[in-house]
Amino acid sequence: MSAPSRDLPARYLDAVARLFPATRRDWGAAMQAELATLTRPSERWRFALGCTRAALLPSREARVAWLPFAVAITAAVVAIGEYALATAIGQTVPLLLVLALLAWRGRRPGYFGPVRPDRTARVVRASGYALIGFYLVALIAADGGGLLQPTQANWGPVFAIMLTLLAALFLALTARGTRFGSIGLGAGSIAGVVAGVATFAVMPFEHGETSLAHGLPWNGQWLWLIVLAAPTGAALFTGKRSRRADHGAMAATLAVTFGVLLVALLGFAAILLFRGSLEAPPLMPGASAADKLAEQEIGASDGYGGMLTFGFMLAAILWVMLRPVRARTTFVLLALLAVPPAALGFAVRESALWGTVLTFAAAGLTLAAASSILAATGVTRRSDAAGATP
Amino acid sequence: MPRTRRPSPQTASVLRALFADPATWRYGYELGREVGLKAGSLYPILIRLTERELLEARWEEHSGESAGRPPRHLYRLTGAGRELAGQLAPAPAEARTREGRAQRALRSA
Repeated sequence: MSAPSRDLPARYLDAVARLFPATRRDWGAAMQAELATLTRPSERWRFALGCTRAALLPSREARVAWLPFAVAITAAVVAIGEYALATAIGQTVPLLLVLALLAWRGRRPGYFGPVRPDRTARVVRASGYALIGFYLVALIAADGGGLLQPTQANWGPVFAIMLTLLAALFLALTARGTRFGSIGLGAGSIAGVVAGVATFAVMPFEHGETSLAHGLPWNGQWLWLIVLAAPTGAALFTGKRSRRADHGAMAATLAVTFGVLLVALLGFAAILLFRGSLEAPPLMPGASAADKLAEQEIGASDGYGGMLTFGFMLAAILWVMLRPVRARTTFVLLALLAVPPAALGFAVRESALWGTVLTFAAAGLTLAAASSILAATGVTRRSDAAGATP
Repeated sequence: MPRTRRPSPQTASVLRALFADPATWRYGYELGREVGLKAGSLYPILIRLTERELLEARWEEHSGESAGRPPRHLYRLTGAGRELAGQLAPAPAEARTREGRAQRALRSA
């Protein structure tokens, strides 16, 4: 019995075959030829319908071209979803969902996981989880459960960004795909903690005149030497042990990134925990207590907000250094460098025109610089995955 | 640095099936039936494997044109594909079958 060639499944598959891009036309013809060998109508329908998925498979070129849009759309959907959820059920639940999603991704093969099978990577990853857990508890405790209530603004969004960033960084650092060895990871992490704690102790606390190191000899100014020595030491130690200068540079960047993020986290936590010690801002007479508290918190967080922005930019650079060189990932990460100036531009858009223009120009220049780095390092060439499998 | 991502179980089963007789050219539909994959899963795998040069494809020469059928597509592993398939551990069921066969052979010997 010869196969019916022009029945409905055949016509359907003819239409599907026209959906294939030019580079895959042969595949449509191959499917039509296979269909011609099938005789049972149910089998023919199943085969023809199944081929639809193959026709809709995006090509490599399309995937590369769409990736920045997909990232932007995903980020927008997540942001809108988080905002909607925060309005409905408070901010803690969306944050916990994001962290749980990241933790899950950390166990799956890919950018964030699984963890590299050595002790240093495991310890660094476990420390990251512990640190995030500590700040979550501190945040919820300090806010008195306010974050669990709808429409509470407070510090939720800031902490959500910081903790998500920190979790992603810890996972990327310790995943199997990282180029960074255990020596640099350990040295950079320890140096980062030392430098971060020293910086937090010596910098003016809560936007005031004094620092935590005020009572130490020379008001603790010698701590700045530790702040400088820790990343330098990590770089020299890693460079010497691994005999790779680039790993030394990565260890120093890691130390500075960790240090900066640690200062920001400690600062925000301190503001939450010690609200009573904040300096009273100069406000108009008759301002309410809530206005005073809000103004105190905004004033006290300025320095730590700057640290957070700096840490965010460093983290983008660190990710580019740590991961195998791939054009699309590198571009997305370097493009993140333009986010802080652009955000600042939006924040000041209603102030002086020149300030706004300059800030947006800074964002443009940052993007241009990122593109130059991309071109200079040669990562615009597509690094084909010779050993990759679908 | 090349990416060494582990293939999905479905892709691994296709690679194993082709590796069982690497010199033979195979038809897509029969290959799908052998590994238990429908067209919607099989063809994306074949397309990706071909685009990554792990699989080669050609049109059959002695086609069923005389029977009113167009020539069909044939597939087999490339050198890189064989290398990758050779690194894959046998599927658990397959391993058990092989083990069973070996034990039966020992008993009958």
